[in-house]
Amino acid sequence: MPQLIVETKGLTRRFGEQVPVNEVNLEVPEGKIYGFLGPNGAGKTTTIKMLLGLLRADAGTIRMFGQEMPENSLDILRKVGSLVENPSYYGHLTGYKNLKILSTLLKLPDRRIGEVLEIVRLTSSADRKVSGYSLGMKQRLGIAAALLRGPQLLILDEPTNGLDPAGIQEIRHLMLSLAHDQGMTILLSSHLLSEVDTIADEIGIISSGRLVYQGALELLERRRGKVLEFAVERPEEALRTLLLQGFAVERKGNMLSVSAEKASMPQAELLKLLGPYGIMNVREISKSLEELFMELTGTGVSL
Amino acid sequence: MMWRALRAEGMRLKPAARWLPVISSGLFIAFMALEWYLYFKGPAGVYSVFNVMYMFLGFIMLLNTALLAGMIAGLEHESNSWKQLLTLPVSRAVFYWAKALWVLVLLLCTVLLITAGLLLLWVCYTSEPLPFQFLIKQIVYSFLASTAVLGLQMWLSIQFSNQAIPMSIGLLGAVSGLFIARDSGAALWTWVWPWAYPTLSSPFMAHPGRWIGISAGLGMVLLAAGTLHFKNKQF
Ligand SMILES: Nc1ncnc2c1ncn2[C@@H]1O[C@H](COP(=O)(O)OP(=O)(O)OP(=O)(O)O)[C@@H](O)[C@H]1O
Ligand SMILES: [Mg+2]
Repeated sequence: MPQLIVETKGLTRRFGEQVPVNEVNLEVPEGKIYGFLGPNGAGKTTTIKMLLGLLRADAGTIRMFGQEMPENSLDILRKVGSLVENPSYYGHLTGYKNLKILSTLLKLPDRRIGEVLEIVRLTSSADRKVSGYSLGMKQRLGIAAALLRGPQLLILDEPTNGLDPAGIQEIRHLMLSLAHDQGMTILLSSHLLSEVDTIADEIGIISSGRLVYQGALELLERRRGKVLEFAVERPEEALRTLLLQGFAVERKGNMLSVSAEKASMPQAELLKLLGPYGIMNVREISKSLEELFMELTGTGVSL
Repeated sequence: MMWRALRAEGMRLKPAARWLPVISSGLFIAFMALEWYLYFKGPAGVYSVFNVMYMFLGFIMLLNTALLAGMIAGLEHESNSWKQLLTLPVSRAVFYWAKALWVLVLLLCTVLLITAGLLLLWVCYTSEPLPFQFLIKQIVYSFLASTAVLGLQMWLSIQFSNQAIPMSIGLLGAVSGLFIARDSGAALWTWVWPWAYPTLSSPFMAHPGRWIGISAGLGMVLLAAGTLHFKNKQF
């Protein structure tokens, strides 16, 4: 069992009547990419702000690197790079100067600035004022700022916001290399499962302030159900037989949809059962991860 | 750490904040020159510049304090930077004091520029002997007596993300200081009215030292309270 870099217990935050973060037990293992997912307003940013000491928790505890947060915030923050929501930048200064301010505060050598600019590919725009940057460039500058101190834990809140497909791809590669080559732990929030499912090792899904799923991505994949669709000649009788056997069936004309909760559904058994009723066609439909995500978060059809 | 925070603060200073001491002291000197030129003729009239300064020095110091605090703190609000700065391994108090010290430094620049400008004006305009000590006292006292307002403005400017509020408060306060200057005695309520302190601590007045002391004391209390409040502020 790898060490947990971030561990919260019963983390709760209220805003008046609202409870945007409700008893959340987050567990981010060392060296892993943790995808923190949830629809708009689920409480991702609020949770991240509490981890970083920007907001106080109303209840619960936070341990990072084995130390209590916010009691040991200076020790902990030394090892954490972060980007929360939209990036922070001084528009009247150049990209280089923006990073220089941070490196001065962090007591880092100037060489580091060049390195991170190279990583996010802003070297050629480093001497331009940030007010003239595009949204994607500002986002990259924010990521560069988070990487500046060479953190052991990187917390990025919707880092691909405003990036084009090539930019998103680049950021993914960057995350993979940071996690796998340098052993960095990365907590990454997003409202799209498809955005993190190619890189995340661990997934946490938050919905209306509650953590509804946490664990490895493979386990989540296994949970998605399958539906078998049969077109049969005598649907009435077939339906009766299946219902008697305890299957969950829906009928539409001569189509029967049998939902199988377990991946190890005995397809052969079904075929044998339905054989006498004249099977014309069989189709297997598996729910997409995205559908599963929506089921878990109860958001239904997306906009 | 403080030194590094001061340097970083200096790097991100808005050009307007750098120029404010130059522009405000330039206007102040120009105004003095105009008054001299229009009204105060002759060897005796030349000394009435001290009366005009008595009226307006406090005003300019208080207004600059409000504007500088507003610019220096407002920058972090408008650039959305608090959450970036406060997740650095640097104590919040360091940020608060670095900002307050920069306001002080820029106010000090205003003091130096006004002093230099007046000396130059005097030398060009008249050959009467210059009461140098009095001049220095007048300018420096009004600066020292602005500490209380500095503490208040820092607090307001950090708490409010919209700088129109603290700056309006600062402007109204500075204008109120002008009226107090016309009022001869220090009424009881001026004791707790921080915008009155620069006028009350003019060397023309009875106890300038007392008012500087009160202002500095109150300023320290306000800065400490502001720091404490900032430490617990949520973003
Ligand atoms: N300062 C605040 N005051 C009152 N309510 C707030 C505050 N900040 C957040 N909330 C509420 O808390 C809930 C969760 O917000 P949060 O920003 O954490 O969501 P999110 O998961 O980051 O959403 P998104 O994907 O849109 O960024 C929202 O309903 C929001 O209205
Ligand atoms: Mg958010």
